[in-house]
Amino acid sequence: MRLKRTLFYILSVIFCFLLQTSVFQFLKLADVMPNVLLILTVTLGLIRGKKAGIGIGFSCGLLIDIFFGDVLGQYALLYLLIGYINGCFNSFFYEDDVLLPFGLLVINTLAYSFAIFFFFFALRGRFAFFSYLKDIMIPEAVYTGLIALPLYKLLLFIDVRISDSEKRSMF
Amino acid sequence: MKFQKKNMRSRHYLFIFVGVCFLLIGISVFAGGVLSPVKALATGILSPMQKGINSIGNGIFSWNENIKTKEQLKEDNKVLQEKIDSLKMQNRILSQDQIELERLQELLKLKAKYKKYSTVGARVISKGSGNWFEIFAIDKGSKDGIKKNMNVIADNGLVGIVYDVSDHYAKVRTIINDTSMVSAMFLKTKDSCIVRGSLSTMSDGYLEVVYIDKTAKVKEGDELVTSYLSSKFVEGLSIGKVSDIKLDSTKLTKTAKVTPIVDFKHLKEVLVITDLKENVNLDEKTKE
Repeated sequence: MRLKRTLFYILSVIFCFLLQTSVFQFLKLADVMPNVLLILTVTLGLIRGKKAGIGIGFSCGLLIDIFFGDVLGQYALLYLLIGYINGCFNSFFYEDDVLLPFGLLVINTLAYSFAIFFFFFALRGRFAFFSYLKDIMIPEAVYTGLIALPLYKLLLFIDVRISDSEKRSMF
Repeated sequence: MKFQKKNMRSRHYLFIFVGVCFLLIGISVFAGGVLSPVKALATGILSPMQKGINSIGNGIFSWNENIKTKEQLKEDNKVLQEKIDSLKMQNRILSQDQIELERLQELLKLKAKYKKYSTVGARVISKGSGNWFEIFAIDKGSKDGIKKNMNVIADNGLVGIVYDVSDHYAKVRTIINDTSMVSAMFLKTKDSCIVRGSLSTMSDGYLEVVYIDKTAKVKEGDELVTSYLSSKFVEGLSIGKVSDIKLDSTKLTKTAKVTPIVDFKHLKEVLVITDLKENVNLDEKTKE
């Protein structure tokens, strides 16, 4: 049964990566695309706890690094920290609660944007913060929030199914 | 007790993975070549999928191109036919000029000034993963003869430069990327300047042009091309039209805006120039 879960993780990472890099470039709204990999990391971190958050975050970030990064490891580090922090909220998590995951997703998207702005822009002397806020951060957070709800429900559904089958096989 | 144990273990997890990240960063900064087989493996598995999705997506989202009516097509055809006629005429004059030019060049023993660059076509298969960096990937790699620092063009304008290559996959950094700098010149006056990629200005559709000489006789609408001074870009690739030239606040140089020719939002196919710029590196610090 561990196998099923591992397979689920691997497939969801690959699926979300393909969504992000190939599908959503056709579905841009207001010139931004939602951050599907971030949704995946946050959701699984929240549902399954810190360890899953770290593992999923690391693999998502590593894929981004391999495909688009100059230096391997920088996005992996960022995503795994996000996964870990969201794993800390695991103890507050209930399956029926929508507000906590939704709030976390929007806050995380903004936090991620701030991190990117700080490390990759402000440190190079590009301080046009409000133009970035207006053109990228807020549209991205809104769009990510919109995409997040169905994706979150889907991931939760699959996860619950797998947990059920795990429990059943125990007895 | 049990809770504590679990907590410790997840913290160990964190430390191990953070350690791995720093190790990877260290390796790729100091010995980048070591990791290329890993990159080749991952891109080899995933890029065919990206390619497939991309071709399906292009098929779906170009449906509106297929439903033009007959009248529209006829009208388009008429306009294009007229254009062809006038261009044919122009072409005849130009080819006569060309013959004349060659004859005179031979007379003066001058070499042809602009070499013809050989190009390879490639398809854009995925765009960067976020909204912050204008990066994309093409479906040709080192096995197809693509090398690092090759220039990429589309619609007769400069798109960017190849910055990383694996077997059948190459990453391109566009000139509108926030980190890119292109050394350019005015086609007419040969005044050199720098075109600076910028995310915040590109949302308004233009790029900044900086370090134009104060005395340069340039005017709005002049064309910018890549400079002969550039260490990575081959000479004479068109960048865009200049507007809004004004004196810098330091009163030493002029700055301007340039609108790129290339439509960066709808890139599907690009051409990679397989000629690399040969140069002697005088200044290692200049980054483009």
